[in-house]
Amino acid sequence: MQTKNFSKLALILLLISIFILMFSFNILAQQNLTADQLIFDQSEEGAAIIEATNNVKMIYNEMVITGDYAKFEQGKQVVTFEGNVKMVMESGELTSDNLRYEMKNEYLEATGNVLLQAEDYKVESNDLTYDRSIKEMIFTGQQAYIEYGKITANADQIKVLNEENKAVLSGNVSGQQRSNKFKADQIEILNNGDKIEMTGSAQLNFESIEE
Amino acid sequence: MYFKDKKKIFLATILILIVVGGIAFSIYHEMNREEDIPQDNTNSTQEKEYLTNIDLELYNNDKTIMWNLDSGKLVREDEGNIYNMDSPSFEAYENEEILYTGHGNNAIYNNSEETISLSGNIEIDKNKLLLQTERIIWNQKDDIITGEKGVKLTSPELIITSEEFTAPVSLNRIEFKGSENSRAKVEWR
Repeated sequence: MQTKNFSKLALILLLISIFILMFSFNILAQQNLTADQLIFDQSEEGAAIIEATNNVKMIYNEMVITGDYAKFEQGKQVVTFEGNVKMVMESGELTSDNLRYEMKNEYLEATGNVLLQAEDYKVESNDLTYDRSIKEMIFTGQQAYIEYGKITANADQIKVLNEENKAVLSGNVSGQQRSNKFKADQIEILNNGDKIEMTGSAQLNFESIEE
Repeated sequence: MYFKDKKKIFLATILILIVVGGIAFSIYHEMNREEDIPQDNTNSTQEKEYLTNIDLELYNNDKTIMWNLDSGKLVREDEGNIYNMDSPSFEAYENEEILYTGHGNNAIYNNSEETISLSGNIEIDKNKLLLQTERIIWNQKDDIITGEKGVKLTSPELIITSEEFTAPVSLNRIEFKGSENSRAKVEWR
């Protein structure tokens, strides 16, 4: 009697597992672009060019990108988004004015009011390049700003290495850890913001404790 | 008294049968003649046959693109204002070069409105592209082709689906439109 029940239970669990597996594969396999309007054109070489306008949404390799306008060039395997761009990906949520994504190389460029809101940090800048294959993000332009753990800082360039849980800030770095201010040519923020390593000309200003 | 004579009765019966038979034959013959009238009207039959042998040629406004429309059965209605075609197939040419070919279940050409509408399982082949829809209308006044219901464009790399499309007669640039419930969609193959 118990063996029969066990067999039934095992069978049910197996079916549920198969269902979940198939459902997951289906979600992973989703690759599409939707919009209110799509214009299909072809280049001189015959490659498709698709312009999408209004409520544009692209699902591609576990990324969801939305915007006002998008242009997909099949020959180059490049998609460009313009206006109110928002991208949800494994590293967090990215918003910007414009975004260009090279599908083949998994390389992304975002420009204008770039803001990345990740679980452990937040970065603001004018420009971003992101190499998804090595999970390296480089923020540049008009003093990029980062909040990482208890650290806030500005720099000419901020490189975020997600795999290593660290950020490298270079060029006119200035910032604050709790109430301690610092300046340096380059700093590395390690261990999710618990540790800072400074290189080059560095200056630390500790807060004076008032009694 | 008179009919008591058996021979005379027999003769009278034969006569009556002959008369009744004659009348019946006359009626039968008249009915057959009436049935034969449409069949004998060879003019209309010849007109339909004659129309099926015509290739309908339609041009865009600047006469650069020509549609050659053919059909298995073509019926002329409304004094030649409307042509109703079954199983139409068409070829589009630009400067004698073929642009695309297509077919559907039915086509209606309205001469006064300058429109041709095709319906039912429409498939258009353009190079490596296949455009499918349930209905298309070519308005010759503005040379715009619109398609609706089950619109699908298949290329070797992509599939586009939408509720409707509009395009110039050349079909070089196709605009797909969706709705709030069903947006136009591109899927990578």
